[in-house]
Amino acid sequence: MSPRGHRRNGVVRSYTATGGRATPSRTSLDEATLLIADAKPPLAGLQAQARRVMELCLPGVLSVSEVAHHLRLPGAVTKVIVSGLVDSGHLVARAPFTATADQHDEDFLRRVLHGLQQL
Amino acid sequence: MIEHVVAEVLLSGGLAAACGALAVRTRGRNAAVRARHAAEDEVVKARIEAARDLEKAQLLFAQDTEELRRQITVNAEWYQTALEETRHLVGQRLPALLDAETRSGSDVVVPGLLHPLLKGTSFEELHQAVEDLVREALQSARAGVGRAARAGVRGMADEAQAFLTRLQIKIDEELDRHPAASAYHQSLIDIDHVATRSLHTVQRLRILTGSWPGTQRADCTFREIVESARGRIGPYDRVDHTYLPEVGELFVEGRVVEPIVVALTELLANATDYSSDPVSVYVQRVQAGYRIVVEDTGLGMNHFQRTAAERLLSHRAVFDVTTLEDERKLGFAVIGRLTRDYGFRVDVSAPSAGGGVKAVLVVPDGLMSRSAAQAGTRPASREAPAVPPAGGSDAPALPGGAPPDPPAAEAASGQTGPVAAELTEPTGPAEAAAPLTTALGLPKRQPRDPGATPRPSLPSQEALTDSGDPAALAEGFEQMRRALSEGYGDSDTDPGGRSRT
Repeated sequence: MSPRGHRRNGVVRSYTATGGRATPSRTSLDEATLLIADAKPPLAGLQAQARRVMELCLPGVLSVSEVAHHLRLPGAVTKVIVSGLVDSGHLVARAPFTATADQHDEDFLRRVLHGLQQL
Repeated sequence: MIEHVVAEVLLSGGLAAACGALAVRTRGRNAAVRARHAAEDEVVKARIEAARDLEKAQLLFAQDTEELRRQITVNAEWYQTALEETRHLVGQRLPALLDAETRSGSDVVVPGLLHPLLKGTSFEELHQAVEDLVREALQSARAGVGRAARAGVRGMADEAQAFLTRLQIKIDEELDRHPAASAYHQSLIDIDHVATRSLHTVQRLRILTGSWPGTQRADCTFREIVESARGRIGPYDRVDHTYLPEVGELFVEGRVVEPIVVALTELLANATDYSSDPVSVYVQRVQAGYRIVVEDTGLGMNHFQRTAAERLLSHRAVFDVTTLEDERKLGFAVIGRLTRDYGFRVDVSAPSAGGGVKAVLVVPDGLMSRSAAQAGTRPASREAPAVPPAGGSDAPALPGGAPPDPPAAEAASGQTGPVAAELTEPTGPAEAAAPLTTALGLPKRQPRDPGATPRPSLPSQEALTDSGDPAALAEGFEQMRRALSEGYGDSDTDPGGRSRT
């Protein structure tokens, strides 16, 4: 590996990855949104960075901020790519932990909250 | 006297004696006559000889005069010749020499001697010496000026590049700072494009003046290289990058990343300049390396353009500010300098199926990254058997699935090693080093001294959230809940807080 301090971030500029767009087609995404890949839609025709996002997400679930880290792109830019993939059906976006949240009692969560407030 | 003696003899002697004396006398007279004749002959002879000598002398004199005249004429001719030759030196040879030396690459021919007569003489030698002296003086002055100019350009390019790089970093920071997309982001992205193109202009200037590209990158993938180059030209949306994961995720050595990106940018700029159609870019495995192909469907190059391009690609000379020509033609010269310094190749001679130009940038295996530490770019849990991948049926599409060459395979198989080590490490020295609680039972803070006790690296975030199994997630959460409630049950440090519920 190259010595420390040699940059890899910023090699690829933001506009290249998004085709010059900075605003995502959906506003529902945030950094913690989980992305699940749908293997059915064909990957052909996707731009390189979008294709890379699919490769990253296909083996499992990744959050938007993790995808941003892997692509070495700013979060806002990553959201543009990701929302495009959600639009095309390649990705399913899911709010974190919603599927399992109701398995825990409210009382416990309150106690966690108060405990955190006391710290 | 003789007669007196003879008379005395006659008087005293006899007739016979007188007769004899007469005879003697006659004989004497004869002898005298002969003597006179002889003397006269001598004189004549001498005269004749003298005349002959004179004639000879006159002839010699005439010959000498002739010789001298001839000599004078010859000398005058020499003088004229030398004068003309010197005039030729000052009027033709030296100006031609100045022309040839000041305009590098121009096809001015410096003439030789005017008069073949002077060939092999000291004149030729001396005039040649003058020419050599002038050439040497010119070259050394020029080299000095060139060095100074290049140093100046480099210094300023360095500064401009540093500022533009800071601008890029600032833009990325600003993009990151505000998570919600807005018109502000759009402006930042538009500014970024301009900044990036300016940066490229500065880089090509410094490369032409013999400097390096000015940025050292970490190892990067072919995907990043192509996408980076794409972003440095104006019509980047016309570049159609066919991304293939099996080669697109291979790493190129950091030392050559920036030079390759700059060279590829020049090829893309050239391709998009001469064609209004999409330009196609793809990476391929070739014997002993990889190649990045840039293909356009433009007019293509004719024989002369191709020759000119190849000449520039093999151009070894360093430019300075006085020799920068039409900036539109400099792309190949930039590439020529980079290929010489960094060991990759660029070839534009291959025919393109689409009729345009097919430019090929070859990256030999020796410039590929040898380190196996590329694991950081992939989710670490991919090889972990405990977590079943969500899209399991797509396994062959993974980049690690079918590496095209042995080094990549090694890199892929070796990647679980360091990650696993990282995960097992956290139970390291920090816990065992000191008691974890104070005398009052409160948790004790550890002094943070990275030099003395390195912080154990935690399992990476990606390792945790990569698991897509909802059941595993739920179980983890349940575990956390238990741990937390136990913690609350044990510690009675804040009963007030609990009573407020």
